[in-house]
Amino acid sequence: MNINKAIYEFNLSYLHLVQKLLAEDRTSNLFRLGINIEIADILDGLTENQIRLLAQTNHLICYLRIKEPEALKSLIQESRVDQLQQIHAGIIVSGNEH
Amino acid sequence: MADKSILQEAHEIQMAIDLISLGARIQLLECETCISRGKLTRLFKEIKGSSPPKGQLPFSADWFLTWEQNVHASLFYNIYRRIQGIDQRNAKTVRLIKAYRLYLEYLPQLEQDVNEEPLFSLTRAWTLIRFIDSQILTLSHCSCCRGQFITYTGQPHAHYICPMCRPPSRALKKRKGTQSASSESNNYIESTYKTA
Repeated sequence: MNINKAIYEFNLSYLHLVQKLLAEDRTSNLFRLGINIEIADILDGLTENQIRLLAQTNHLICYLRIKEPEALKSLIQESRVDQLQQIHAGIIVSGNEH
Repeated sequence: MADKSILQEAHEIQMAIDLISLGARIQLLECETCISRGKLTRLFKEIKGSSPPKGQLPFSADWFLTWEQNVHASLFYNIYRRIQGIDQRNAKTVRLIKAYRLYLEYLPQLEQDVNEEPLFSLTRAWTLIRFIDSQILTLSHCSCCRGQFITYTGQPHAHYICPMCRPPSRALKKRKGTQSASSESNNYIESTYKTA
């Protein structure tokens, strides 16, 4: 696998997704994306060339939103309350960004 | 109101339609819009096809501390707070609607399809915001997953563990199609604050 190519394609589809979501319900999609307004405004205004430029690096341009190892573990371990795991993930992801 | 602009009224009616569709009670609509009670009742009947439920709104703050309710309420409030941070131009009620819709997306399909009122209703969400604004309830970090959950203001939170990291022993895997048996027990509150 060509790592740089895989990363480039991931970055590219991430940036395209961001633009697509921001064109719709902006407030709700800012929440889904977990980015702030200033960043969103810039990403929203990028041209296709700028997007390609930004995507063309040897690193990913976005982070894993779950930052605490304990939180990550708690989301994947077997639980008696499995049916609420999706909600738990939502709490963890929406709580740790400001 | 004679001097109310027609545009403003149209805007409020649209908001009332959204709120009613999401399950708002008349008392909530009266607080959040300037539309008369008579009109609201008619609007309610037209949308829901039945008269609005009568009686007092649920008013217990303890309800939000029961373990399963607590998980739902905590997710809603985390979303609401984020929406508040993102969207300061829109009115409080618009943010309530957006946050509640986002909250509903997290419910399992099974529960979304059921045509009855969800465990955590829009009216509960609205009540929760008021409890937090008046500093009766607050958010505390779980010392295990670091997620933020609804707790009483003034409780010691240093060793707080959330109901997802330590579900009460009576919490069982939900089988398909069964409604949750939500008892109003306060066992969860007691066990959570018993720190080792």
